[in-house]
Amino acid sequence: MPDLDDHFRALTSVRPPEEPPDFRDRPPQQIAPPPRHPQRVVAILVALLVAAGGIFAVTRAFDRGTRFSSPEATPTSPSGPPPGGVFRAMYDAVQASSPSGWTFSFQYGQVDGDWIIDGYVDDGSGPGRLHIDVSTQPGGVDFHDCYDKEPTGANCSTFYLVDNGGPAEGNSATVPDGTKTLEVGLVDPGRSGIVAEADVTRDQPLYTLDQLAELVRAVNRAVQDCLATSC
Amino acid sequence: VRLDTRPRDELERLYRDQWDRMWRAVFAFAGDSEIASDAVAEAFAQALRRGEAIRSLDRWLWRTVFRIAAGELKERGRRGPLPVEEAYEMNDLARDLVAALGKLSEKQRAAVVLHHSAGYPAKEVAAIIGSTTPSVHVLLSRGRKRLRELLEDDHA
Repeated sequence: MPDLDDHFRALTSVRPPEEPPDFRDRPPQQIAPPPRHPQRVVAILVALLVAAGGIFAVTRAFDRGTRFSSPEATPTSPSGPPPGGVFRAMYDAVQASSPSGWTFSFQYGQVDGDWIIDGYVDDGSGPGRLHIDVSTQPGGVDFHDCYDKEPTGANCSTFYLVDNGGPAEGNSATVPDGTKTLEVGLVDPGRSGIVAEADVTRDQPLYTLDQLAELVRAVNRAVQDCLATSC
Repeated sequence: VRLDTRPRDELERLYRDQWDRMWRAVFAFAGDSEIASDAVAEAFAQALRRGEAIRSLDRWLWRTVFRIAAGELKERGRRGPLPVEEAYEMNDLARDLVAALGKLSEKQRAAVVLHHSAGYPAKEVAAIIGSTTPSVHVLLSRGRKRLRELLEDDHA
């Protein structure tokens, strides 16, 4: 059966019209944006009011450390300190699980209710990317399989780690230029859980497999404690 | 007001160089060859009118072309590229993919197409669609998962 890459490769065989339309003398607004109806103006005003209320509610949620859920949020503090609540718990766990002296530069964002940290960790010899996705919603975790790796053509291996900290599954991938990605996840049967990925910005990921697994477990404990105590 | 200060030559060269890649991506996004052709041409026409007011031309063009295509889809009262244009020549793998893409959310679809068809890394996709890199990783991950499910259903 063809995989996703086969489908995208097939897309490259779709030929556009050989003669592109002339854009130079195209009359303005030949393609109009969606029409603006009076109701839309009212809707925008209502939306602004709702948004203002939403910002207030989110601010309160963060202040009290309770979980908020929005379809998509921009980073609350790009490359800055964690904003609080679950993000703070995640950051503290990452820091505590990493060797002393390492520095961190993260973005924080919520997507579909997931808490996501993404950014760079520097061990003194250069930054490496770290991405952590915490999902408490069933089906929220899509643990990357090796065929998901970018760029394609990676050599992958999947492994399972079982110890007192609970089972973890993971994979490693070496992409054609020799860089390597490690990924470790604690995934519940319902596909909620945590995935951490040390990515391909250096020849070798910052974290060893064991370190990354321990980091994931530490983040898991911290998030669970945080949620249980309304941190 | 026509701010025709950006050299036409530069835009014309870009148009020729980017036509295939941009058209194909918008076609995958919209599932309609007419929308793809019009959206790409309109984006360049708007760039010509704006002149040097555009700082990052490549990024602006991609953002604009998707906005125009999405607006046109909404104008037609459609949620996505269904049904896939039967008349346009392509093989079954491509046709199935375009149909499956039409079942993704608009933002998922844009992220997947920009990454997998246009070849942009997640960080650049984020800049184009006005999102963040972590959000794009999630959009890509979930978009791919949904596509696999849809395509497997097609083959079952």
